[in-house]
Amino acid sequence: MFVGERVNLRPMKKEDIELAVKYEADEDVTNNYFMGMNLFPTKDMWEKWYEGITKDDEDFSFAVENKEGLYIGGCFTSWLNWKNRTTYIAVFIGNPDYRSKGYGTEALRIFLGFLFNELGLRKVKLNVFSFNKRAIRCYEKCGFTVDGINRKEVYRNGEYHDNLAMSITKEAFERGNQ
Amino acid sequence: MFSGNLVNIRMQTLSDMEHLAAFRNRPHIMDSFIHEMPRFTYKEQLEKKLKERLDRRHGDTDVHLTVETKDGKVIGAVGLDFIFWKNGFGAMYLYIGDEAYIGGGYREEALDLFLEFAFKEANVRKIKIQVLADDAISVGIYKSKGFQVEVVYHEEVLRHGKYLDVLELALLKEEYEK
Repeated sequence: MFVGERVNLRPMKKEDIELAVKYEADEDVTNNYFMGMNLFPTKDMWEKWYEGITKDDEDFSFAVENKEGLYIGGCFTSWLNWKNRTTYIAVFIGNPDYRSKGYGTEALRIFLGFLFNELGLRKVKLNVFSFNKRAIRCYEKCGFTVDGINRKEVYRNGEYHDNLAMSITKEAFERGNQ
Repeated sequence: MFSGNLVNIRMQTLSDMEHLAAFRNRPHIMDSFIHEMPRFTYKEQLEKKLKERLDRRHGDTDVHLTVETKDGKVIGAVGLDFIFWKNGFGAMYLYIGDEAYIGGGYREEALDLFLEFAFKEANVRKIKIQVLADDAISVGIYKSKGFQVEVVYHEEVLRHGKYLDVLELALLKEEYEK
């Protein structure tokens, strides 16, 4: 477990799935999050995903909890590349009571600390839809900068939207923590 | 088959795999790998993948074609590694593996044929490609076809002891049609 002031990163538990299904039945989460078709994931899908992470020895998937142990969201790596020492990540706060209050930012900072200081990665990347201003602000606060814009890359609500490519280096992360 | 003056691009056959595996082990091709580990390719691996593709039907999310000279000599490959049908884009690759056919316009013509295939037949609406930023010849070829740089990934990939920049270029169908 990785411990912060207001949140911890801990392993996902099977008991979290009920809340996870509830959190991802909210377009405020899924519109901003899913590159694929925006259909709310079912319990069966989460159970299958959970089974996968218990066997995964390539990527990292953590639950975000508050100090009372309530599951509020998650953070994940994908396409972790040991040769180039980079990874993509995703972070979400599913519980609406914990959005826009700095919980996601703290979870992201703990996660970045883990990726840089425990895994030895050099650079962490993510993609964020251009209309997801709340998330972009959070990433900028943590020290991410924009590497470019993938034009018209996600089809949502009848239109194509841009997808921002952002990244943070270990050096930029350390500067932000000084 | 998409047929030009110098090359054709066509469906792959099991007998191509020996050539493609040999190409992928040549230094100039291994040096162009971006996210892949610099592992040798065995023809058996490529044969197995092709056999798996032969079992599939519609709804494929990738397509792989052979580049051959007008007299049927296999010189390279071109394809979309990943097609995201919902959002309408694909990630392409193209290589001329036989050094004797580097220069002379073979790659450019294969690219022309492939773009025609991708936009007019496969019906993707955006094609992306990643290239090493210091590979000026490749960058020049894609830009000359209308591709635009969307993302600059700084110090992205380890090659010969240094971290090199990678460019992501993309061409939208409406730009192609202009």
